[in-house]
Amino acid sequence: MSPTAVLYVAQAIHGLAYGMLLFLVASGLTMIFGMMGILNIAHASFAMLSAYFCYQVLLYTGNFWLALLIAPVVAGICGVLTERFLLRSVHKQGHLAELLITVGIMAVILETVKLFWGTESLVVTIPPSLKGLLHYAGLTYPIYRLFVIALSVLVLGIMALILFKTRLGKIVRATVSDADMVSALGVNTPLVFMLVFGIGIWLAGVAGAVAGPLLTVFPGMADLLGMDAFVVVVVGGFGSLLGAFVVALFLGELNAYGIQFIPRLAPVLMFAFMALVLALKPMGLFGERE
Amino acid sequence: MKATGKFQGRRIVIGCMFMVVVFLWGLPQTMAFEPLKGDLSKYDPNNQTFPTSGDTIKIAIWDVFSGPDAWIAEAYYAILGFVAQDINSQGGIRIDGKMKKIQIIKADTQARPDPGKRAAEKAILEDKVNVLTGVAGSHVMKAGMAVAKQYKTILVNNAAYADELMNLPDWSEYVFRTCGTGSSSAKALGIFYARRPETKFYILAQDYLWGHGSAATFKQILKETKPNAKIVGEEYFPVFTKDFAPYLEKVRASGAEVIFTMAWGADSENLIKQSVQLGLKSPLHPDLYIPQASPFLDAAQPLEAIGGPAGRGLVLCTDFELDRRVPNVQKLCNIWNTLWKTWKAPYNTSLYQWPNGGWYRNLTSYYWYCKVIEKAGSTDPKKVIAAWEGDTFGFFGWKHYMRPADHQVIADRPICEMVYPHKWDNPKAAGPGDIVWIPASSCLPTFDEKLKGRLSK
Repeated sequence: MSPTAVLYVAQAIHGLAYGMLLFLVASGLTMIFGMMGILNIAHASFAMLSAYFCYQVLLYTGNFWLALLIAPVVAGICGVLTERFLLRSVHKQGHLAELLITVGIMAVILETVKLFWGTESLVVTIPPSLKGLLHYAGLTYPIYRLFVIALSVLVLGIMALILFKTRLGKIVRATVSDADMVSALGVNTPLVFMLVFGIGIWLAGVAGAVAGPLLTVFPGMADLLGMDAFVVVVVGGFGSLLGAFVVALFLGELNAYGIQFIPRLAPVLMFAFMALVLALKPMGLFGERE
Repeated sequence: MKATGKFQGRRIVIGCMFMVVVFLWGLPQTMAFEPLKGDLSKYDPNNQTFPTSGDTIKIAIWDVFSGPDAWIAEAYYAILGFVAQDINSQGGIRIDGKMKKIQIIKADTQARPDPGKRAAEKAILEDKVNVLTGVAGSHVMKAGMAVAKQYKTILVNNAAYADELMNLPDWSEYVFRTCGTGSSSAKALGIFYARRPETKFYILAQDYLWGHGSAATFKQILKETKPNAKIVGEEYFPVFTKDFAPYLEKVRASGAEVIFTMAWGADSENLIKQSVQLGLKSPLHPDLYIPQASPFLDAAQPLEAIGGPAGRGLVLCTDFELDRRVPNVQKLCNIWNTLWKTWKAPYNTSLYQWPNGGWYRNLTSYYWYCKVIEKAGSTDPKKVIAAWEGDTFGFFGWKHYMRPADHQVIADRPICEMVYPHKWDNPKAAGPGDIVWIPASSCLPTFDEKLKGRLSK
């Protein structure tokens, strides 16, 4: 490949990697909103918490794969407990109360990580099996970023399988459409809510754990990830997984090629795109009117 | 002729008067504190023992104590505590005829101008501090400078690097800057690279005042010192960028031999990590990664993350670098490192192993301020101003001079290439190698001509 082609292909893969990371964070958020109508401000904070859990497991065991398995699950459990003991109790007070409590949860998570892990940034290294570079036709690309893409696709596949091919998935989709009717049919909808919330947080946890070796793990990590995830959810359409996927990929590529061709405008392109979409379709690209 | 009794008596009286004069003149000197002479054997930043009431010298750490960047003020608290312990254990400082000890006051800026302004006002009006010291973030410093001017309180800038801060109308006589500036770092790097084989430079800086100003100065100096140098790319990224891969891919495609990067905090760390992950090798030295030249490369975490060998060749242009050939620096390192081994979290990490970089910068700043108020015999701002203008501090073998017209420190700039293995620092990471000193006269900070000739004396 010519050097220019190599550059453009590399940028495309960078956009894909970043987009996939965004999707992992945003997918949980959009699921939670679609199901429960909660805009979880603390969502990225759970991703950060998972990154810290990943660091801790890595410290004890030295095994990245174990950390990748355990950290999101622990974060998911934290999400379940949060839903059960905090969110459920304010559900009756309406969306504003739920939103405010998630702001409080965000602050608590921030102070908790500072209390247990301190304020310095932590080192999470790429495991030896994923270190190194792939060389192909003049292109040099980090193996770990390809792993991030592959893992995101795998997670998406598993979620799609569960949602569309299992009874549990049917229940979840039905509850999204009409929770009252599903409840009237004898399904324990609070349990379904809790499960969905936990899965949503688990997804954010996977994102946090894989982001650790790429980004600095520090108490400000949630701020780095959170804003972009919200843009994906808003533009993709609240509650739409497909929307989150498509928009996350698009924004990843927009970021990469924006930096390539118009770097001074690259940081605002995402928001400009959001403004355009909302002006034309306020419910988001794949959102549905209630 | 034999001396008469009367003559002998006169000689004794004159001799005694002479002794009294010498004693009275020498007494303040003997009572003067000396850095590192105090009892630091049990100093623990987690259990500080400075007085919390009474007639003390109140020094405020006006910086970010909360939020994601709380580690900054947490570190400065440890450093000022070290200085306070040292001086207090020597009896304190003679101020207004009395020996006074140092008390530390915390003032949380939350890294934002408005809370920073309120914190500064509270420290001055309620806590009655004698001096504010800080701060991370030139935008916060601007707010603090206005407060210092309004309430006529000394403000020591030891961490905000934007050149424009020391220009009118922000500047006031109450502000003293003891750290370097973006332009002095940039000039020093320009002169450093004048003597080296690299000719292709890529500028990658944070997209705000400091990044742009430093880059502009670097380009100008490079034009003057190295006519065959080329700027093969110039990008400015938002502060707290997550993914640098698209920027670094452009660096790779440009054939750059050096990345001139003005970035701090998470950005500096992510840039270092991601450039190694992307395999950005140096075109001149394929066994090394493309060197990044920056003032903030000596954070332990990213250097550990990339490993020792990968950190070789990075170029650190800090404004404070430990030169262990100097006895007092070696003494400082020994004392600090010995204490560090006894400290508990959060101070027991590699970040605190040696008092390097920003720690050394603040340490020098605090000692210097204490020496100035000792010289002035007072914490009265007017007297401090008079004592500090034109003053020098060189205890650590490296002379710092306070430019009287604008209260900006002038000092030689140390530049080091990172080496591995490194004798002193973290064995898992590269560390600063031999220091190349760029003379102060070659890398002077900018100067607002409107302040020319202004002296308070």
